[in-house]
This record gives sequence, C-alpha cells and structure tokens, in this order.
Amino acid sequence: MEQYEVEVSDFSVFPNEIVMKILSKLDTEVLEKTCCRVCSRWKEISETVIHKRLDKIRTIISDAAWKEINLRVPPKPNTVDLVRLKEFERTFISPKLEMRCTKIEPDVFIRRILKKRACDCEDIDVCITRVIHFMPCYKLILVQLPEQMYYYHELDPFMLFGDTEVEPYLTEAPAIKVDNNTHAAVR
Amino acid sequence: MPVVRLQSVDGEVFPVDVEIARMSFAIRNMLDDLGVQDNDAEEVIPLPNVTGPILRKVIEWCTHHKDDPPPPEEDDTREKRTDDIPAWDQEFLRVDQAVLFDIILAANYLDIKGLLDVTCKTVANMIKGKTPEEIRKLFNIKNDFTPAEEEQIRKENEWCEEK
Repeated sequence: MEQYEVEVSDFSVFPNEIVMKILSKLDTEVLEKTCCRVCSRWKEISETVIHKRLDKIRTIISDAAWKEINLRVPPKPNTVDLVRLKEFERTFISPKLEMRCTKIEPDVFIRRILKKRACDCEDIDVCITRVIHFMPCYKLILVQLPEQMYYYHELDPFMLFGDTEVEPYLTEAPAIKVDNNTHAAVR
Repeated sequence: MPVVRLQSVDGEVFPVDVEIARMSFAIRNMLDDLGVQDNDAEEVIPLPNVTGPILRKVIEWCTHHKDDPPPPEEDDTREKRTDDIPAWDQEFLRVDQAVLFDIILAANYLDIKGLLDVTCKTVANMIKGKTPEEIRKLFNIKNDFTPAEEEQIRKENEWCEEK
C-alpha cells in the first residue's frame, strides 16, 4: 500500500509570541467566547491579550455604582471592565466609526436617559450602571480624559434625544480621537 | 543594483537586491554585522530556518512591497482590523495552510513586520466565525481541558451567551 506524506499544519509550530500576534487581531468577544475555549494555551494567551486591552481602556464609574454593577452584569467583579471593553469595541472599533462627536454634559445625558427609561432611581450614580447598558444601542461611549469623563456619541444628539432642552448643554467636543491601537483617548 | 545571495536550508541560493533583502531586519543586521555595504554585497547569507520554496515566496512578497512605507512600531494592542488585507496579498496568501504557517514562521525569523502582520491577519480571519471545535479541527489542536475545566469555562461565559 502506498504511503503518502501528509503535511500537517499544526498550530503547535508557533511560539507563544506568534499565537499572541494572531489572537491580538481578534475582538475581545471572539477571544472570550471562542478562543478561550479552544485549549489551555489559547485560553492563557487570550486572557493575556484581554488583560492588556483592559489596562489600556480608561473609563470610570463612581464607587457607589460598583456594587450594583457587580450584581447585575457579570458573574465576577473583574469582568465589569471586560463588559465595558467589549461594548467599546462593538460601538467604535468594529463599526469603524468616525469620532466626529459632540460632548453632552454628563448630568444632562443621565437625566435624558432616566427620562427615556422612566427610571425612578434616586441615586444618579447608580443609574450610570443603566447608562452603560444604553451604550451599545445608542453608540455611546464614556471617555476618561485626564480632567474629566465625557460621554460621546456619533449620532445627531437631537435625533437621539428628540428634545431641544438638550441644546444649551451641548458643546463641541475637543479634538479627540480614540486610538484603535491603544484603546485610549488621545488629543 | 547590488545583490546579496540568500541561501535556504536546503541549499538553494537566491540572488536578491540588497534593498529588498534589507526589508528583513534579521538580514539587515547580518549585513551590518558583516560590514557589507550596498555596493559590495555579493555575500552569501545562510538562512538555516527557511526552505527554498518558502524563501522564494518571502522574496516575492518583499519585491512586491519594496516601495511600501515602513510599518508602524510594534504594539501589543495593535489594531484588530483584519479586513484591510490588500487584494494582491490575499491572492498571494491563497496557499495551503502549512505553507501559510511556514511563511509566518519565516516572517518572524527574518523579522519582516509587514509580512508577519498580513499573515497573522489571514489566520485571524480563518478563526473568525468558527466554534472552538471547528478551530481545533482546522489547526489540529488538542482539547486539553478536563471536563471540570470545560464546565468552569462554560459557567464563566454563561452570562455573555445570553446577549
């Protein structure tokens, strides 16, 4: 019986640095949902990539909100940032949106969201947790700059809120871009 | 145009313009270490980790991209975009998986950032949209998770499955 040499392209030929380069090209969601489940080596490398990204993304939320977030969203506290990172990617990285944004003062934004959701929460900080859930559907993002946190969106704010009351609070955003490479806001 | 001669592990010798050969930082360093100047480069550079057929592919890619601007500095969190592979590169990388993997290894060994980047993107595109089991099958990867570990991972990801 003739024997043929079968060329096997085995991923094990790659050192970790190459596997990391490859996996670094993937969205966090793919890394988390898929790559982490392939094998222990991929899991370890995927988690390293995710942690590096988490170190880069800078968003803030008040301490008062942490407890509720931890209860509501992920099974373990450390994944809160992961949720934000994935939302960030879904919102801005994956659709490759232009960051031609308008700044909305946080208090205005939150009041609008409260109204839209008919939320009766008295603690506005806690309600930020709900704002986070609005981010993907409204293409919103929290950007932490050195001096303060901004909410940005790439839609027409009047279309978004349908309310001229927002107008006086709108200001042109400073020239900020979100660096796709570092996930950081840069001027 | 000055030429340098690159020798693959299987003894094949490829005369290559120095300008093109220097797209590889590994070769560039070797030439610099040898004190080879552009106008006296008839040196034979042995490349013990690259076979003739793969070296030919690498030289073909470098020749096509010789006028490209230098790639940006390496960054661990480089852009994840993978849908921007030029048409020529897509066609160039339409090869057997084993050949693609060998090109990646050669690009890494020869330190050709542009080639390494585009080949890694190609593999990343192969991963997208597949299940873990399909990926294992595609890349001949053994599932080394214990049932208990798999269950643990499933639980960890349960909440995001609902989205």
